[in-house]
Amino acid sequence: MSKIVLVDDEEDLLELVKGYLEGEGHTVFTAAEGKKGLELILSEKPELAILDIRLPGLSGFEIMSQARAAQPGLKVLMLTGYQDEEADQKAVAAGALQVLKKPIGLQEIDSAISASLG
Amino acid sequence: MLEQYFYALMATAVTHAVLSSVVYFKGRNHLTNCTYAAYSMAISVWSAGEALAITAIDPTKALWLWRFNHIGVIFIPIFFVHFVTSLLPPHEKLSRKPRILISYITGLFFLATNLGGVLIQEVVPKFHFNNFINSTPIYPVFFFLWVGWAVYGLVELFHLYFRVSPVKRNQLSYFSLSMLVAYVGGAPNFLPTFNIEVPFLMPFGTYAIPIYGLFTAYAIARYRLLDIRLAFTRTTIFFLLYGIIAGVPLALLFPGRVWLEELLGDRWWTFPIALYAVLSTAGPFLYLTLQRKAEEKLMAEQRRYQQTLLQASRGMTLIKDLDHLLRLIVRMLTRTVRITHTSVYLRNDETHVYERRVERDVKSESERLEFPEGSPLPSFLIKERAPLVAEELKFQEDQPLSVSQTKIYSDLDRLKASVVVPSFIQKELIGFLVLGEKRSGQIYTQDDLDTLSTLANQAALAFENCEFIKKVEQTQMQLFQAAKMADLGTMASGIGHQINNRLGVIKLGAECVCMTDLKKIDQAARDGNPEVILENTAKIRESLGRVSASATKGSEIVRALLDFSRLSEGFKAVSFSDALEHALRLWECKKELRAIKFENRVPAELPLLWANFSHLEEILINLLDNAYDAVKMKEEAWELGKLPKPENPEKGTVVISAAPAAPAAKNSKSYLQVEVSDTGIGMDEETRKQMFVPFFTTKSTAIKGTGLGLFVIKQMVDAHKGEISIESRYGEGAVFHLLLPLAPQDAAKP
Repeated sequence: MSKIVLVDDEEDLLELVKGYLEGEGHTVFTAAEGKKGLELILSEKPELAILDIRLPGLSGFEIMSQARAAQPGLKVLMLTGYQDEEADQKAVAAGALQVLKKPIGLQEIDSAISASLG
Repeated sequence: MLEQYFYALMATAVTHAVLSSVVYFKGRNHLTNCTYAAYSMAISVWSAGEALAITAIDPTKALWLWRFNHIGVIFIPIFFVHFVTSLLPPHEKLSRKPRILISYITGLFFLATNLGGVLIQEVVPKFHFNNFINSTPIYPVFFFLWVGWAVYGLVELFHLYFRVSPVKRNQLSYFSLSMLVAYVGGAPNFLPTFNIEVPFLMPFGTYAIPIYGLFTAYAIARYRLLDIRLAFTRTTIFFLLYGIIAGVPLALLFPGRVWLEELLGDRWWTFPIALYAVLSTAGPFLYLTLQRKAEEKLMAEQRRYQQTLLQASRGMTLIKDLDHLLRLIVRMLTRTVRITHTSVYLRNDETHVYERRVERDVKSESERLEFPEGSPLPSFLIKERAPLVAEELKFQEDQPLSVSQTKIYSDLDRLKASVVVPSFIQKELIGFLVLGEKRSGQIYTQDDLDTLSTLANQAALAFENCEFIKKVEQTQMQLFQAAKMADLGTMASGIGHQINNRLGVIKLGAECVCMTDLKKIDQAARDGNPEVILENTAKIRESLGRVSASATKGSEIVRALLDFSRLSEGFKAVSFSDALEHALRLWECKKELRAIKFENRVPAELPLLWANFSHLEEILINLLDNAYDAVKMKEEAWELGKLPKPENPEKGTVVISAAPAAPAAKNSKSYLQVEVSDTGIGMDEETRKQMFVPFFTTKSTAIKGTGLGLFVIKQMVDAHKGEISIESRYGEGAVFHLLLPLAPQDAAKP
């Protein structure tokens, strides 16, 4: 199974998704803040990062570009609570595999993860 | 004896000629005035003719003077009857028409016999008179009819007297009495014609006639009868005074000559001439003084309330609240003028109907009516542009009654109105005052009506003023609401994000429970493994806790949003902490608060404010927003090199604090002092001065300032009767000071 880093400013979401994914057999690291998220990715070198676009500290975009610089093969899923098509396109253009819209369900997460991890 | 007659008759002739012309010129288009003037003139002709006739030496000349005298005599009762008829209510007036016509026909008939030399044929010396007429065959007929018409007129007058309102009766009482006196006193002048002498009544009865004139004058002066009060007062004073000025020296010149010659010898005439000079010089001064004194005396009690009303008129435009103004007007009128009821009808600009807005009823019950624009009463007021006096309208001579007049009568009746005073602004009828009877039973004098008109027109201005202020306030409320809505717009995506986050947690929580925890429990139940079951129920409990907390937070956001967007509910006692809590919840949606350091130093317990909750929220959100933007602008300035960037830049800080202001802070009212401080970019003196100017902004387009925020905030703070001020230095941050008034001690908590 895979190693996943999850960065979102919503602690409840982190706990719930982490609990679920661990139940599915993944190894999950979480951070509620941008800088800590980037540090986690750089140290743990996960296969997949799930990043909230708007975060305190660094934004999802910044984390993605900086992490990619160190780990070009990192797969990234973006997560957002905003209805902002422009930002979504920008995320995909910057190399995110998919933009997940909150409120998000477990099945969506599941299928997005399996799609990205192939 | 003959002289007694002469003086009495000449006095009558002069007073009545004056009375007649004054009455006529003061109201020549009123039937009452015209008939009364004719009646007075007839008396004048009679008395002048008789005065000259009885003293004439030459019989031929005397005969013609007697005939001249009879022109007056014939028409005295006829004009009298016509005058009395003019006082009757309209429908009765109409039914009397044939009688009036007959009376004039008889009058014309006797006029013809008089001028044709049939009525009077010879004069002979009789009793004290140099000459007096002898009866002719037709004379008793004439006399009989004359008495008949006079009695009929008196009967009609007394009949009317007992039917009319107390107000009108007051006028008529003097009048009827004086008429009776005049006829009883005057009629004996006929008796010598039939060779009858009544020792006491002749000549003194004749004096009754000028006495009657004085009575009438009194009635006019006191009760606005025939509407010539002031003119009459002045005229009387003028004639009396100049009668003395001219009369006393004249008396000294002729009857007093003997006495003066004894005293002064040949130069006896110097005294009357000197006296004459002195009196004529003093005349005008005396005239003015007497006139003022007389008018003061006559109108003492009216002057009292007229003064009050006029003073009040001047102060009215200072009142901003229409309801307050209306109540004040009716209270003032009812109290100072002492009327049974007062109400104010104002035009509703939307429905174009004059509606009763306020009413004060002491002891009568006036109906509440509505008058559409163009209905009879408003139209009448617009046409006349003068107070409508119910009594006068009822006794007006227009015949027959039009439909609209009938409607006005019935409306006035239902309103129980004595007077309706229109309120005009230029040509526009804004509304009208409806006044009941004076509780003293007196009528409204011309001066009253003038004062009331002034008051009503002043009131019209005050009404408009109130309306204007109300509109300005409405516009301001709309501006406030628009500002809030604009703020909401900037919050929309933030709020959506917040809500989605809550929903996300709820959805994930529920799904985790369903898809993993419950499955595990099912499995464990089948396997008979209670430890796993317990482990998972604990997880479920935890997840549901998150779900519930998220739902609560989400609903709080929604409530804050709804509270904020709701139209303001006006002023009441509100808790500052509540308003701040609401404001913070929305502020969180709007700004990325984690990017700054925010400190809420507002204590939990604070006295209640007298405030508009929704506006208070808006004030707080705006001040917090500005502080946040200032912090961000400082960071921007660092990046752009406009400000030296420190080595270890700390997060910008925004602090809000509040405390009851020291009592000395401002007048005697209590205030809450609120401070919103930031470590942001600050501002220079120039900017600080322009802070509250609309459309003034220093914010870059990136931060998107409209330049309206602080302008609206200032307006809102002003509406709270609070104060707002800023202390700031460029590059060092800013402190906004707010002073907000506390709720009165007895104000209930919302």
